[in-house]
This record gives sequence, C-alpha cells and structure tokens, in this order.
Amino acid sequence: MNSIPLESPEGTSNLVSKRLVLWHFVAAMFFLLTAMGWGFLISLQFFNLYPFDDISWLSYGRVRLLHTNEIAYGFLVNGFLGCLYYAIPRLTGRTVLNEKLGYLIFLVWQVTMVLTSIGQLLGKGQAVEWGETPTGFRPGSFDLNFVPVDALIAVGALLVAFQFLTPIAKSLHKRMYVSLWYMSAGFVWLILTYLMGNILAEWTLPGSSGAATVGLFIHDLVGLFVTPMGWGLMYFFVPTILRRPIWSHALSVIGFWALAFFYPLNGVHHFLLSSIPMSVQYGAVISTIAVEIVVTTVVVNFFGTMWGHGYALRKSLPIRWFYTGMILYFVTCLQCAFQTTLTVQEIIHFTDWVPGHAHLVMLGVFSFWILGIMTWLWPRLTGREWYSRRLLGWHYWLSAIGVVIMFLDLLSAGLVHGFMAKALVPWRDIIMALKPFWGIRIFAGGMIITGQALFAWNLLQTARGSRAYDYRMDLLTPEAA
Amino acid sequence: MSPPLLRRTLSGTVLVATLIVIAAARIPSSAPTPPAKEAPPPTLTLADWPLESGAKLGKRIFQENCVGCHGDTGLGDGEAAADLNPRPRNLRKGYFKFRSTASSKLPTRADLLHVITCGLPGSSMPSFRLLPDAHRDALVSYVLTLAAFEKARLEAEILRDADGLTMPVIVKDHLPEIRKKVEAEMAEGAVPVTIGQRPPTTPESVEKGRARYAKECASCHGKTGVGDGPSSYALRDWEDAEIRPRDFTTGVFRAGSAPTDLFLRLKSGLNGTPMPAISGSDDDLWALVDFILTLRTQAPEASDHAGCPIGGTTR
Amino acid sequence: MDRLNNILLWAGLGCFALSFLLSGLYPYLITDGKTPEASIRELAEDVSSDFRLLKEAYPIDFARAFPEGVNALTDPELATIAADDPRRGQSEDAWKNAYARALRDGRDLYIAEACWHCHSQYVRPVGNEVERFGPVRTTAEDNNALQRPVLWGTRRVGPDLTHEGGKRSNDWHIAHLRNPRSTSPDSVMPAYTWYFRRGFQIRRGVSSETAEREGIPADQSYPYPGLYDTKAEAEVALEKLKSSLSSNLEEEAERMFVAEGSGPDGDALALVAYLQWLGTWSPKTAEASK
Repeated sequence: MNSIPLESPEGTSNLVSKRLVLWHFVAAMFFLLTAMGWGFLISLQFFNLYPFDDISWLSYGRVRLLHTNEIAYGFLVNGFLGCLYYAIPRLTGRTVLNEKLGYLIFLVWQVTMVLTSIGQLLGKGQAVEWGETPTGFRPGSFDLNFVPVDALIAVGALLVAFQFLTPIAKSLHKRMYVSLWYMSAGFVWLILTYLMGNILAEWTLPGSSGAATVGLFIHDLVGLFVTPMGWGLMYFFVPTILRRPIWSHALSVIGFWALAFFYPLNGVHHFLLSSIPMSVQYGAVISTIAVEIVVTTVVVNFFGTMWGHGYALRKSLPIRWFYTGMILYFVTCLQCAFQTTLTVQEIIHFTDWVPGHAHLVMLGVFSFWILGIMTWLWPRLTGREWYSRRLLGWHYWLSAIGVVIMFLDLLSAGLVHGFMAKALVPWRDIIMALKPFWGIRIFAGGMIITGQALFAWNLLQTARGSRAYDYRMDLLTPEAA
Repeated sequence: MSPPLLRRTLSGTVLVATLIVIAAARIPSSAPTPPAKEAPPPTLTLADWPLESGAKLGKRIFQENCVGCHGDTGLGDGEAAADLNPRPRNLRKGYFKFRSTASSKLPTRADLLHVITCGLPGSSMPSFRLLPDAHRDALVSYVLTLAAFEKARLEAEILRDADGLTMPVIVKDHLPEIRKKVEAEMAEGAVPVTIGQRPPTTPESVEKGRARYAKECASCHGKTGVGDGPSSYALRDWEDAEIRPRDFTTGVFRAGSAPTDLFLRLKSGLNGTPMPAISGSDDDLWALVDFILTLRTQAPEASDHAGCPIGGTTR
Repeated sequence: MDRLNNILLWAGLGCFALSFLLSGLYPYLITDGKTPEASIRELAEDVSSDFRLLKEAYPIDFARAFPEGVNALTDPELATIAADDPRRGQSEDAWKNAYARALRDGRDLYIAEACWHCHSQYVRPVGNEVERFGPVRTTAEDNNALQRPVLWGTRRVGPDLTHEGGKRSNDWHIAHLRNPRSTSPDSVMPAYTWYFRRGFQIRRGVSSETAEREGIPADQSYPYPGLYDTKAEAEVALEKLKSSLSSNLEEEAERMFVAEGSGPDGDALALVAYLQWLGTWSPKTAEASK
C-alpha cells in the first residue's frame, strides 16, 4: 500500500483535464438546483398547494420521479465523474483513457439526463424505484414508446468504466490504494446492478421475486455504486487536505471487503414482512445489521486520521463538509440497523420515516461530500479566488441545519403516521396530523435550496472574478520544506 | 469552459429555480362563481336551529367527512354529486332506503349507524367503521337533526305564508313548539317492525315465494333475478333520477345480505324509490326471502367483526 | 495486474453474484418459478360487473378506448335481444378482449402517473393492516403480467390499494380523479383533470311536480350516458333516444335537452377499470371461473 503523493496542485496538473472536471461540476450544479426545485414543488403539494394544477406533466407523480432521478443520475453521477477526473489521474499517475472520450461521455450523460427528464414528465418513467429512467418500452413489453434511455445509460456506464479502469490498470504504483479499490469495484458493480435492476424486474421476474430484485437494485445502486464512489473519494481527499496519511490501511481494506460482502445481501430489506420467502427476509435483516461493521471500521478510520487535528473542522470548510457527512453517515447506518428489525419495520415502513432516511443518505452524506470537494476544487480549477468565503459558510450552515431539520421532522412524521395507522385511526385524521410536519418540511427544503442557490451564485461570481487564487491560503499546515 | 458560457449556464440555473419558486407561490385560482339567482323568501336556516351536544359534534364530523358528496347542508349537492349515480342522499328529506321501520317512516338510530359503519358496498358510500364509536353516533344525531330541521322548516314556512309572520318572530316565539312537535313525530315513527321467528325453508315455501315473485317482482327484478325486468330501465326515484332494481344473483345487497336484512327490505320497502313495502303475512314474506336466496349464483360474503361484509369500503 | 488482484476481482464479482443468487434467484425458484406467470388475457377471463357498467355509463369513450369491445353487450342491451340471438355468443369474448386492453392500459397509466409512489399494493400481516385493508398479500396473487414490474410500492401517502376492486362504484373513482377532495376530504392527492374532456350531453330535467313536491331546484337535471363531441351529434342522438323510449317514459322526452358537460375520457376509464380489478384476481378465483 502506498500513500497518496503529496504534490501541490500544479505538480500533476498536466495529468488532470481541468475542463472536464469543471464541466461536470457545472452540470452537477444544474441538476442539483433543478432537482431541488422539483422537490420543493412536490413538498408544496403535500400542503395542498398546487401551483400548476391543470398541467399533467407537472403533477406530483411525474415530478417526484425527476426529484430522485436528477439527484441520483444528474447530480451525484456528474459530481462523482468530475471528482474522478481529478482524483484518478493523481492516484495512478496516468491520464484517463482519452480526453475526447471524456467529452463524449459528458455529452452522452447530459443527453441521457435531459431525455430522462422529458420522458418522466411525459409519463414514460419505469416502475422501478430509483431506476425510473425510461426503458423506452411500454411496461413489461417490447412496444417502443420512447427513447430507450436505460440502454443509453448502460452504454454511458460502460464508457465510464473504460475511461477510468485503463489508468487504474496502468497505474504507476504497484499496489492499489484503497480509493482505487472502491472506485474500480464501483464501475463494474454499477453496470451489473443497472442491468439487473432494469431488465429482470421489467421483463422476467413477476411479483414477489421481482420485488426482491427491485430491492436488490435499490440497495446495490446506493451500496455498490454511490457508497464506494463516495468513500473512494473520501479516502483520497481527506488525507490530501489534512496532509496526513490515513490512520489504518488494514481497517480500510476490511471496510471495503465487508462492504462488498454484506451490502448487496441487504436488498430484500426494502420489502420486509412481504410475500418474499421469510428466510430471504431474515437473511437481509441479519446482513443489514452486519453492515454496521463496515460503517464502524470506516468511520473509526477517518476519525483516527483526524485525531489531534480537530482544528481542521474549524479552519477548513471541505473538511467540515466531509466530517459532517461522515457523522450523518453513521447516524443513517445506525438507523438502518434498527429500522430493519421487523418490530420497527412494522411501524415505520410506508411512512415519512423512509424519505427522511433517504434524504439523510443522499443529501446529508454523499451530496455533502461532493459539495465539499467542489468547495475544495473550484478555485483550483478556475484559478480564481472565491467571490465570497462568507457565502460558503452560509451554504454550509443552511444545508446542514436544513437537512437535520428535515430529517428529524420526517422521522417524527413517520412515527406519528406509523402509530396512528396501527391504532386504526381513519386515514383522513392521519393526513391531518401529518400536515404540520409537511409544512416544516417545506421550510427545511427552502433553507436547503437557498443554500445551494447561494453556492451556485458564488461559483459563478468566482469564475467571473479577477483575483488569482493562492492555494496556500487553504493549506492547514505550512508548506512542507 | 469559457467564462461567458459558464455564466450563461449558471445564471440559467438560477433563473429556472427562481421561476419555480415564483410559480409555486401562485395562489390556485378558484372556480368561477355561478350567477346570482333571485333571492327566495326568507326561510328557516340551519343557524336558527340550536344543536344539542351530540349533534354539535356530529356537525363537525359531518363537515370533515361528508360534505364532498352530501353537501354543506346535507342537500346531497356536494362537489362530487355531479359524477355520482345514484346521487348522494339528500339527508334533509328524511327518505332513507335501508330501515327496520315501517314504510315511509324514519329509520332508527341503529339503521343509520349500520349504514355509516359499513357503508353501502358497491356504491359510492364508503364505510366509516374506523371513526370512533362516539363520532359515528354523533353523526347519526346530526343526520336525524337535518331531517328534523327540514320538517320544521316546512312548518315555519306554513306559518310564514298562512299567518304572515316574519322569520325572526317565528324563530323567537314558535320554534321551540315546532321543534317539540317534529321531534315527537319522528320518535313515534322510528319504531322497528317486528321480525318474527324465521320459519324453516321448505320446498313448499320456496315454491310459494316463486309464485309471488313471478307475479309481483319479476316485472322489475327480472325472471332470473338479474334485475332486468321489462320495466327495469324506466324506473325513477323520488327525485326523478334513474334507479335500477337489485341484481339478486350476486349475493351482494347494499345493506346486508342476511335473511333478516332481506325480510326487512320487503317488509318496509325502500323509501323514496319504486320498491314498495310488500304486503302479506310474515310467512309470505319469509317465503319470498327463501326464494330470493335461491337466485344467488355467487357465494355470499362473509362478515367481519363489525358485522360489515368483508370487502366493504374501509379507510 | 498481478495474480492477487485477479483473485480479488473475481471475489468482488462473486459477492455481487452471491447476493443475486440468494435474494433474487432463490426466491424466484421456490415461489413464482414453480407456476407459470398468468398473462393479462388470462387475468381478463373474469370480467367484472364494474367494467360492464363502464360501458353502460360512458359508451362513447369506452368504444374509442377499447375497440375490442364493440360487440360486447351491456345488460340493458342483453335484455332487449332474444335468448338465442347469435350476438350473445360473441359478446363474452369481446368483453374479455376489451377488459384485457383496459387492464393493460390502466396499469400503464398507474405507472405513468407514478400512483405506486403514494399507494402500496402490499398488505402486511402486522400493524393491524388486515383490519384496515383486508387479507395479507400472497405470492401467488402477484404471479401475473400486471405485476411485472412489481407495483408493491414503498410509501403510503394514500391507502393501500390491494383490495380496491369492487369496493366502490365506478362513479366514485371518476369523481375522485376529477377532484380527490370531493370524495376524500383533506386528501393531498393531485386532481387528474387531464383525464376529463368537454363535450355535449343529453340531460333530462326534473318534472315540475317533482320539483314542487320535493323542493328540488327546478333546474336540477341528470345526464344520459354518452359525451358527444359536437352539439349536432348530441342532438341527433337525442332524437334517436326520444323515438326509442318506452311508452311510460314519453312524458320525460319533453324534458330532455342537450347541454355542455364534461366527462372522463378513455384513459380515465382504463385507470378505473384497473383500479376496480385490483384484488379481484387470484389463482383460486381463476380456477373457480373456469
């Protein structure tokens, strides 16, 4: 195992295609803002506000698909790709396969996302949760009714794998650093997961076995793509910014393999107490609890790395984003271990608890990490000093407080809903009891969106600015001699 | 990326987000108001009618759950009414189909409670069995109040037209008296008819029922009980709305498919519809029940713990 | 790459494969894989009375949406033809074909509007759900083409729809789609106004005696089935209707008129047909109807 080379940003700049990183970040910000706009729109509908009452393509059901899909495939994937274009050449000492291919991937991916959005607004979404990208066919058949976006995404994912696996294979370093473990596995798993989730449940497996596969897909997408990419990037950026090696390489490898083994076995926990064979459900419950091992090793490792350097949280905004994300990650996963037990599941399944959990994972953890990385990289990419560092602080606090409010609010709403449902309270009364919570969610969502809008404005003004950026401003320790 | 392109992309993003927020704040436009009609002469209004505590609670529950179909004042003219056939009941008229009381009389509290609790399966009337007992009971009180109010309103109009009294005077001086009279009338009518012991079903009783059915029922309900008799498509209820005879083959009856339920429908008729109370001795009616039960081609529905047919509407 | 890396690559793929075998293939092999999946046409074998009533109440849009049902005869039509009329023979098949199309179209719309994001089709044996919604969902019930992709859902903003079929009237569903708050107060469901179209209806007013006797507003009227595109078409139909009325309804003919109105289009009918089907099929009922 080697440590990350500690060069200054200029040292490897000929390896990194800064423009690709920048483009992907801009696309990511675009989809982040639109996705959150959609989210805000649907949160209004929960409060009986229907601003676009008679417009079919802006109705709740269709917009809801956009909210999740633009975050998953628009923001997270673009964000990850941007970060990877920066991280992988520096981790391997090699350029990516081909820069032109990079632009092609960029184009394919944005076209895919636009087509996905149009398709879903027209009601062509697929009935696979987190995989609602249009298949292009009528459900369960081969009658073409739209552009087969799923196929485009598979092609895109394949190109991405070639693009990044080539430098990893040709790496200058003999032993792979743990980031590359996570990333290379993530590329391969993404393709497999995507094909499995989108093909099997649609065309081959009906009913309960289909549900088992869909559960597997939902979970693999988060567990075998988003999580590995996120942690891979953390293993790169945290030591880079802290200028300290990772606390334990052994723990990082244990964390990786525990993730590889336990995470995919969790799938069925999305449909507990269902008609899927009970043995499979028990297996999923046990392995979900086992995932705590992964979480604990990884979180301990990162806090070990940080040990004695807590001032970084105050001094460095990216580090603050990262560690906030890690704390929320620990909270989410601890939540997983509890909510997967059948006793808790009985109450919280089908309620707002679940969206609360999902917001914490997707926004509070992985989006925070990408935003932190953007905060770190943006001045390095544009060569301009921040337009306003105070706005960066606002961005952090609005997002962090917003997501915590939303999480606690939806958690409470979930409990209220679950217990009222069990108590056989009439449905109308449950809805009335939930409306105040849904009102608070609008407020929390508004906070989060405001934060991102400020960030977007800051990014824009920074890129337009004239002050040159001095990377030494963001160093936590004086330049090594 | 060149700064102008970057600028455009980012400002486009901000613009879209702003537009969404602005549009979201738009207040939904309300439906156009119908042109004002000529004002009718003043009459008794629900506001003049003091509610006792049960009906007061019932009014709240009614406002929360029932007005979409039955309308604000129980006239059966809620927003959904235009799409519903049969139309929602006008609760003010005091015509209730499913009763255990004599023809043209008001139902007992238990009758109303049963409909509210179980709904009318297959119709647009849902079950409200998940409402607390006290709330359903209060609803019954309020529904009866609406019927009583309507009777009183008619009495008040007579006073207004015949004696030339103004409404404030009627409300002040005569209302308690009218109310006492109306309530006494209603209580008198809402007495359940007696259901004797059901005689055993025999081939003779079925045969007797068959003969009676062919003579009096088949013209509407059809020879085989499908509800397709010669006059079945030309039936009208008290509001001139179209109404269909029941299909006896499905085994689903709106207000219960037990033999006693059928007996009651025969004995007391369905108020406000062409279905009359059937004359004759109890044995004649039981014979008819015996025959009708043989028309069933599908298994009867089981009942749940609340005594409602399983598969009834519940939320 | 060295040998170790190779082994580890296969180990990574192996983890993925293992999970798929255990939680994808294994449940399939011990449940759904044992019996053939029911096709949509097989599901449509038992045509519900609610579906027949849709044709009666909305004949024009029904004919447009489900052309297979052109020979399907409604109960009033059956009552007017002889017992040995050859049209009776074709009728049942036409119903089944129309029903199959309606179920498929309705399911597709259920997916298109993402109904499954707020309504589950999955009753669990806990949380008093059996008491609220009805019997627990079984594996066999889902082994059919309408549950591929599976529509269990993971969230209940609205109630579970497993046993929705036949619980309410078609009208209720139509009114509910037009404005959910008219039938379900305080619901947060959006109104599906784009499933309704404007046109011309034949309506019948209330007789002046009835209006007088019962205190009904004199302008109250009731629609006849059918929503015509143009006023002229509706007027032609009105004349035809008047001439075909039975003698005891002649007095009513004078109170008939043509007016503008709005009603559900074919998509709404397909969606209602699908909702009214939910929970009415299980392999057991399929056996019984054969």
